[in-house]
Amino acid sequence: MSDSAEILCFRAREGDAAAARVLVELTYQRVYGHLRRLTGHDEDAADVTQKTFSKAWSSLDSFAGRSSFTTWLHGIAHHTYLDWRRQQRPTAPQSDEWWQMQAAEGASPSEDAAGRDLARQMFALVEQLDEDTRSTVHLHYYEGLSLAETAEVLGVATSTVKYRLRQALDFLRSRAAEPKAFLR
Amino acid sequence: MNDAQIESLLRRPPRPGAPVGLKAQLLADIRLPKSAASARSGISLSAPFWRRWFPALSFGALLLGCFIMVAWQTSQWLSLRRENHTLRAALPDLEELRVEQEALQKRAAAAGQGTIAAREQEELVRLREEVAQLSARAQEVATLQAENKRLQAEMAAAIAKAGLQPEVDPFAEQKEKAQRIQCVSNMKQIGLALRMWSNDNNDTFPMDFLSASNELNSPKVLTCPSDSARQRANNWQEFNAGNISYEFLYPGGVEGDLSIVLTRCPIHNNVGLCDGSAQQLSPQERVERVDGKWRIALKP
Repeated sequence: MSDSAEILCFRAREGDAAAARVLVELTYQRVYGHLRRLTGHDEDAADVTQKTFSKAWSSLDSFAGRSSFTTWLHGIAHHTYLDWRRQQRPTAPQSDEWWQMQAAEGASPSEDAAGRDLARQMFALVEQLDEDTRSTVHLHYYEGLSLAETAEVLGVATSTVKYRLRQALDFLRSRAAEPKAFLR
Repeated sequence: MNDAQIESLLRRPPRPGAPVGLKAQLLADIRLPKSAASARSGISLSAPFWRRWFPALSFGALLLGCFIMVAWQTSQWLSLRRENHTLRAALPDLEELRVEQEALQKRAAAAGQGTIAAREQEELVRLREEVAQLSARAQEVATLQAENKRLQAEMAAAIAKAGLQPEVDPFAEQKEKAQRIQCVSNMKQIGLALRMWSNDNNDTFPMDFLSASNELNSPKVLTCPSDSARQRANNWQEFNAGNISYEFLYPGGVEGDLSIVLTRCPIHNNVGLCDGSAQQLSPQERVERVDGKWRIALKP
């Protein structure tokens, strides 16, 4: 998808509306899911998604093709999310019910109830991380971006991404060892 | 749980579905920049033909100009080459032309010399005519002079026959006075020259005037203006003893007694003393020799 997304982006920059529509269809679900996990609300996620695409259309000229279109779009989404956070009160952690419901929907039939519960609890622990580390985990693990792409989206060095991920894993491992940690 | 298990869980996050209507909203909100590529290049597709093709046209015009210049220069080069060939072909005739030109120059020079000779001949004839005229005038002058002498002689004879006084020159007295003063001046110059000579020779005067020729400005001063028997010498080459009017009364004498008479004019009776002065003696004075030395003394 990556190569075609870049070509579509260049065509959209030339004014091809059909290419822009294809780009929307290819990416809007992923962008919305990312923002939904970050914002914790459906309406806010939809609103930030619209703003993200609006900014993307107006900044098509700034896409030089050095990174993939997905990375470039996630960068815009991240900055739009930060702008939204500055205007809103701090986001409340996702409720356990939402994560439980999402985990149940996303789990494979082979997974047992214990595994789904463990995943739900792990996602809830991620929401307890500080903002920068949480964003790094979302982009790298949830969205599947590489270390370099994550660093480009966040505007930090790759070594910083590695450090944050190490911090997150240490935190999650230590908290997972505590039986009561999941009850918070 | 180890890190691998945690990462495995984290890589399978929940995928929340987008709400219904979001896709339609996003598609409806697509606002692409108008002709982004054209704006980036600065030339719109709707721009006039000449504006869109200006870069290509300008380059083409430049190329055409260069081609025309090269063609013009090539043409010039070929023309010069043809001319060069023509000149090279004419080179063998050059020596012949040079010889012919030299012959022409010689001919022209000969013609010029002939002209000069004719002009000189004319000038010679003209000069001869003038000489003839001048000779005639000289003869006429000689005739007039002879006639003048004859008339003067006749007039003198007539005056003598009539018993009249001959005509006296009214300026004769003034002339004589001037000559006397000139004589005194001459003697003063001579006295100074002799003193200069004695200063350089142990205060001893020379044996003759000629020895002091370096101190005298001119030999003219050795001839009294009233001495009609002698001629003035204009320079020392013409000078001889016959040009001297003055007497040297103290030759080889020692300078010391300033009252000794050094030189004397026998015509005007002027004297020059050993102190370099010159004076005219009064009618009561004379020069007499005392102990071999001449001094001024009163007449008895």
